[in-house]
Amino acid sequence: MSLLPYLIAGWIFLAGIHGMATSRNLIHAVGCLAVTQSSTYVLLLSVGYRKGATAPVFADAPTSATVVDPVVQALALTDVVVGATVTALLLALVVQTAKRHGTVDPDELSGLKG
Amino acid sequence: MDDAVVVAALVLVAAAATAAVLQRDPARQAIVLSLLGLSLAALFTVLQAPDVGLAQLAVGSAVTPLMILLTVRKVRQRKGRPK
Amino acid sequence: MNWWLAAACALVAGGLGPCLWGAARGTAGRRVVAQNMATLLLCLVFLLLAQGYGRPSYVDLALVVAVLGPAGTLVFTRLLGDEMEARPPGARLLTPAVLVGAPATVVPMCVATGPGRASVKLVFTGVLLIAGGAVTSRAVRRG
Repeated sequence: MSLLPYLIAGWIFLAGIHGMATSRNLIHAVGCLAVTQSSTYVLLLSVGYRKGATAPVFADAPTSATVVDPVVQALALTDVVVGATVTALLLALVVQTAKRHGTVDPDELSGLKG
Repeated sequence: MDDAVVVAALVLVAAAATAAVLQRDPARQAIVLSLLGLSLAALFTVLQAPDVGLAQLAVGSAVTPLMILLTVRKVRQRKGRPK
Repeated sequence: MNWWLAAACALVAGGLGPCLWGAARGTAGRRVVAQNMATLLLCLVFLLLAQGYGRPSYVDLALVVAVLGPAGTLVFTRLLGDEMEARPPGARLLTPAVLVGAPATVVPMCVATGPGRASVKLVFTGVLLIAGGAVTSRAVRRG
C-alpha cells in the first residue's frame, strides 16, 4: 500500500505524456498536459501523508493531534492554481494558432515559418 | 482499514486520467476532465488535504472544462468545419 | 474503519466508478448525465467522509460541491446543448437519486451530530443539493 500512490502518480504521468505525444489536436494536448500536472499533485500529497494522521486544520481538532505534512499541501495548492493558469494561457495560444495557421493539428504545424 | 478508501480513490483517479487521455475529441474530453477533477478532489480529501481539495474543486470541475469548451467553440468558428 | 468510511468507500467504488464509465463512452447526453450524477455522489461522499474522520470542517467541501457541481453541469448543457439528445439515457435516475440520497445521508448525520449550528449546516447542504439536482435534471432533459 505504501508504494501504490507513487505507482499511480507514475502511471498518470506516463498516460499524460503518451496522450500529448500521440495527440492530433492541440486542445486535446492541453487537456493531456492538465492530466500530467495532476500526477504531481498526487505525488506531493502522498509524500506528506501519514497513516492515522488528520488534516492540519486546527479549527475543529486539538493542537496536539498528529497531522500530515502541511508544507507539501501548500506546494500542491500553489501547483493547482498555477496549473489552471498555464492551461488558460495555453488555450489562448491554441486559439491564436488556429487563427494564424488555420489548423490545430500539430502534424500540420511542423515548419517554423519565418 | 482507512487504506481501502485511499486505494479506491487512487484507482478511480488513475482510471479517470486514462479515460481523459484516450478521449480524442476535445469537447468530450472536457467532460472526462471534469470527472478527473472531482476524483482528484475526493483523493485529496482522503489524503487529509481538504484545502487542496477545495482549490481542485473550484478549478477542475467547472473552470478548466469551461475554458476547453470555449476554445473548441472559438476554433470551430474560425475553421467553419463541422465536427 | 467505521461504517461511515465503509459507506464512502462503497460510494466511491460503486458510484463514481460507473459514472466515469458513463462519461467516457456514449452519446453527449449520457456523458453530461453521468457528470451530474458524479457531482451528486461526490457531495454525499464528502458528507460521509466528514462524519467518518470526525472532522466537521470537511462539510465545507460538500457545500462547495453542492454549488459548483450543478454550475458545471449547466455549463456543459449550455455549451454542448445542440449535441445532446432530448431524453438522454439515465436522466430518469437523477431525480430519484438526489431525493433518496440526500436525506439518507443528511438525516443520520444530523442525528449523530446533535442539534446545533453543525446540523443546520448539514440541512442547508442537503437542501442545496436537492435544489441543484432539480435545476440540472430539468436542464439536462431539455437538451
